[in-house]
Amino acid sequence: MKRNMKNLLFLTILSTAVFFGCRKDTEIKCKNYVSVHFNNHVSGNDILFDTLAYTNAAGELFSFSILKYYVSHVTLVQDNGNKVELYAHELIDEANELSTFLDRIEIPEGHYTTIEFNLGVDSIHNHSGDQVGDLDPINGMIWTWNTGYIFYKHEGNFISSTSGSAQPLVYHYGTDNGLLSLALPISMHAFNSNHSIRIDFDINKAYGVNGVLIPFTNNNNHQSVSVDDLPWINKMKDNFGQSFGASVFTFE
Amino acid sequence: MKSGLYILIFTAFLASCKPEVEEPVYGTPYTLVIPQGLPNMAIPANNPMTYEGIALGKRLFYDPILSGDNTQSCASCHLQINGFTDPNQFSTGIDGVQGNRNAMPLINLGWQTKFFWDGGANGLESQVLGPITNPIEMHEDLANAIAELSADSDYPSLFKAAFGSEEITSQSIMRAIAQFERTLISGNSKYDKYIRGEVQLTQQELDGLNLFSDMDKGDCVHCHVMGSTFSDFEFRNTGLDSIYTDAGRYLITLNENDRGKFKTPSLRNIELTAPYMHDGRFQTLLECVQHYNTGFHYSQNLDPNLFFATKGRMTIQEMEAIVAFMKTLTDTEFITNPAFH
Ligand code: HEC
Ligand code: HEC
Repeated sequence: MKRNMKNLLFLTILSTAVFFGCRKDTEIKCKNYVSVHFNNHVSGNDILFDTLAYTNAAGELFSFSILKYYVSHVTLVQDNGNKVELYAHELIDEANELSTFLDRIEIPEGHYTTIEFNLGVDSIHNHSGDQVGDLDPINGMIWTWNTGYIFYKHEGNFISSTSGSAQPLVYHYGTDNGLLSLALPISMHAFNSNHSIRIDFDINKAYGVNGVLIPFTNNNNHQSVSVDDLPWINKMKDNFGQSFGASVFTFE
Repeated sequence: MKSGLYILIFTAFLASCKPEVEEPVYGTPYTLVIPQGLPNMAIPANNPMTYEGIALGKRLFYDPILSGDNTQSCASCHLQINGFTDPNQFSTGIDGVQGNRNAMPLINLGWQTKFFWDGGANGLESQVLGPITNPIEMHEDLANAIAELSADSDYPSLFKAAFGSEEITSQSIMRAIAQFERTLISGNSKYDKYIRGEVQLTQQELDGLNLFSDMDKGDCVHCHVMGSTFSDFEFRNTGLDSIYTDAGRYLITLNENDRGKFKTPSLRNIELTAPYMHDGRFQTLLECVQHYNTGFHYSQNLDPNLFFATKGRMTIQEMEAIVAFMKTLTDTEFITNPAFH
């Protein structure tokens, strides 16, 4: 059901993209457009809420009741080094499909080789709640006792490997130190063309990649910024760095 | 035909991204009157003070609508008669739960940049979110507060008058309350009148004033800077404990050197804001001075000013004189000012 919705939305956006396609035989001056879609998944599986349907690298079953995160300064880089910033700060909320499809932006012609973005809110915006739009505190993504944004919020349940029973899972990740800058290789020729870039985010890799396991058992509550959370933040940061991939779809 | 549709779709896309524009100023500009002796206050450029903004902020400050069950307002824990603090050691939130810190007086906030005992809140605007959403305080969901305010018969027009739009946002709530808080200025105590040559201090008060600054006696001025705000608003370890139940500033910076450090409070209206210290452990001002004379504990983070101070350097008469001086900082106009209630 959810999957169909997602595909439908994706198709709608694609068909609009096709519709935009310029015709060289008309008078209309052609331009280049790109839009970005964040596709969250767990080892290739779509995310459904409130079902213990996923298994992390440590072998624990887990679920989602909330999955939200911030991306900032999503930027395209051309082969000549020129940069085009597409979006400043965006809240991606898995429960709100539209928030995962970012607005279409007009870009200059050229060959684009990299898409860069941060996971998190930049340090200039990270320390004030007096902000609007995606940074509005109403989104529940801010710590008020220590003003700063929660960059990544996953809440749900998991089956503890020691007790065998379901327990709450609360992962709130943030701090300036936790801000992660990513650069993903792409190959995109923008010349009278429309593009969609899909960023795939494998949540499971965040919890275990290349042997760095983040098991949930006895490690299920990180909703503060205390010294106990620092090793966890560092591990998550490393894993997040290996959890994203980009693919380009082009429509003449 | 085709290009018409094209434009239609294009504008649809345009409409979905909000351009960042300079915020227009609504309402009637308000100029703060800064009493002689206090420095100029820097008002954030994006939240200029207006009569309408201040009036709205005041109304919100006193309105329990901002709490989860509509029983508690900011004023429940910040009482004007007590220099806008809570006479209880620990305040009780709407769910009957108590925190582990003494409420702070809301006085001369506009000169400060970090709020709470540990400085965890950056900016007066951002601070407002804390008590509203904190489960041990007003325990309200922001979206819910905004829905209630929007459904109210008065608020939408008040927000429009202050910020130009009936649409109520977290930002306009924060900004209105911060505007009101910036007006809570105290600078007309007996001490201020003495400095302006309007009244005399008693001999004991004068002795206290000198002892307060005397490097070999009170030596209070390093932190509670003489005159104006009576605080440097820095974070200091005053040796209240050597083993900390509340790690203070460390909770924010995670820097070991910040363990047991708390914001230096202003001493204005200190007579009215008992109990004292971040955990409200002292009932009287004499106990506070005794702490600095003999009571402080040595630890790695103890402030150097106290580390090098001699224990027992003050007599009881000297300590009483310092207390008498601190009481000259009481500003009765501040606690009765009708503009604040
Ligand atoms: C349940 C009691 C309670 C309520 C209600 C409450 N406060 Fe407070 N307030 C406190 C306590 C306790 C502290 C100190 C907290 C700390 O340091 O962790 C505090 C601290 C503050 C400070 C920091 C002052 C400084 O010098 O750093 C400000 C500003 C403030 N409150 C404003 C407000 C506003 C505005 C509201 C209403 C939206 C409000 N408070 C509601 C108890 C309360
Ligand atoms: C090293 C800096 C420093 C010095 C010196 C100092 N203070 Fe303080 N003062 C503080 C800090 C910091 C606090 C808050 C401590 C806490 O609650 O943990 C405080 C708290 C107080 C309080 C309680 C305020 C309140 O709102 O609860 C009083 C009263 C006080 N000091 C008076 C004095 C006097 C009188 C002297 C001189 C004898 C003095 N202080 C010297 C830093 C200092």
